[in-house]
Amino acid sequence: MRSLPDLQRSFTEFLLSPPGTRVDPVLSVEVRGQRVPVEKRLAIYKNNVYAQLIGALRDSYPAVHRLVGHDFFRFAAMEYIRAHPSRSPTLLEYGASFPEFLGGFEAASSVPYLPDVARLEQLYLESYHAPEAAPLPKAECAVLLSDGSAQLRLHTSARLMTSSFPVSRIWEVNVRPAVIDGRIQIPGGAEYLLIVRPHTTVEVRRISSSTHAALAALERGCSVAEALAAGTDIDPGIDLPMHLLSLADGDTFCSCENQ
Amino acid sequence: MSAAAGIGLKPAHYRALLTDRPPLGFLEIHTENYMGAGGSPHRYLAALAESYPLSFHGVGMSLGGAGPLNRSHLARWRELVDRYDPTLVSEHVAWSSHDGYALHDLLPIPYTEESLRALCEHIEQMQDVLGRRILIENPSRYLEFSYSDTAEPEFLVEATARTGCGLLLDLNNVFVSTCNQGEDATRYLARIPSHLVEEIHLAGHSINTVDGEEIRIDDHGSPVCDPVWQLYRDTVSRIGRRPTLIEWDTDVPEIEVLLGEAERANEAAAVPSRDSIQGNRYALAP
Repeated sequence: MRSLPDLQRSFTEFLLSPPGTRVDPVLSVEVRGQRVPVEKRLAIYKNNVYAQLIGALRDSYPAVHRLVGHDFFRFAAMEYIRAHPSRSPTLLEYGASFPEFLGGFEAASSVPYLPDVARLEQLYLESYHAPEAAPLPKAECAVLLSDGSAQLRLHTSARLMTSSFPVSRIWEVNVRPAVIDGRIQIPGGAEYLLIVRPHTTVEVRRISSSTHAALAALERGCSVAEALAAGTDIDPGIDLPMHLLSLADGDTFCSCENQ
Repeated sequence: MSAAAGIGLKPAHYRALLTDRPPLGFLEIHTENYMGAGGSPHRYLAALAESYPLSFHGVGMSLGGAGPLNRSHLARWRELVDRYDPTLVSEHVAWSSHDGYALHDLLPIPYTEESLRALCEHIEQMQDVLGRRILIENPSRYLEFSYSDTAEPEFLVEATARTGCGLLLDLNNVFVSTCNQGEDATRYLARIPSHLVEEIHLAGHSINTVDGEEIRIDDHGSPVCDPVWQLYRDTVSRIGRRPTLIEWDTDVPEIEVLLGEAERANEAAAVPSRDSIQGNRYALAP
């Protein structure tokens, strides 16, 4: 008989080992199997561990799952789980580095936009679970925009993203329940995105590159004047304050006290 | 708290529950699923807490672990309990993490004095941090350890005696575990004193065939089976009614299916289905 820490250590090693790994002989001696052999009994627990984690990834990355199909997703998920075992008792955070993993996953290299779709789904989740904050009313936003030295805070749930692919359109057609037959035409190339959840629902909004540059500057803590300059550097003709005000209409900002 | 049956709260049912407010004794959550900071899980849970008592059921504390409890996990539990003040709080007699690795399954412990000491220390720590008693749930098991020197019912009863906690009696787990070990569920249940049981769980399981032998897997993905309904009727007639949960976590069906199972539990325990409704709030029994 082994001590409880020893038993749980070898049990854990077995659970996290690649499928098909032989059971530690000492562990199998200490486990009692009647009709069903010990190895098969232990395998039930191992299957459960992988099933939970694969299920969590599938829930978090539904568009990636649909794009590559279940078998490939399962294969990629198993590889990811082996490389990045869970370290948190809650599954909410599990898989945050899956987009980065897919970026370096040779077997998925024929789908070049896959890591960006995963990144969008990860930001969507972050926004979904982000802390609550009261959105800044448009009138107050207008006052701040007219004061170059002011700070304008993005909402606690706001996330920014850029992609050289039409990633939000690819994502949209893959999370819609409607079945799509055959080829679909997706317009456009690069995208600049704002993902935000001012109320209950997460919104994925396509924005211009200059608006994106201004919001990114605000996110870094720049003043309103610096943010407007960052935006007009990209597109001198744009009426940025008007664009930002229309975002304020969509509850994109929150007051500084929320931070 | 009313003895009318409750169901596990699933995001797919948030809107239907909030719109229709069907008669249910309580709603149970997996506490880990509400450890995000904000957003729709908390908005819906807070709104539903206006109409239903809540039960917080943990799956990740690893009370049966050899190592120390995860302090940040305990702190997040505490925050949630303080915020929502649930009527029931429970965890499992199992381990689910080791040396920082989270395994997300309820793993079996040998029933020895060493395990009992670790378990009781952790139950006490959880009760201290939360500032309240907890209930501990009997696990479903697919194996036994050859050197266990106590049977599960006696082990559980001793843990309650040492820590003052109560029992969440999962009848599906009793059935699954005893079938898998060639034991008798009725004999198991006869060894659980009535006064320790403060909640009952009912769920479905699947039957798998391994090398020509049946093994039952506790997957919470189907209706409660007839032998478990029989155990429920027998248990209620022996110990009386208890808050009873219909658990369904895999391939979650439409809400009507869960409400039907809850209604069936009420009928089995002869609880009038609407006895718990008092206007917009559910009455808590004294």
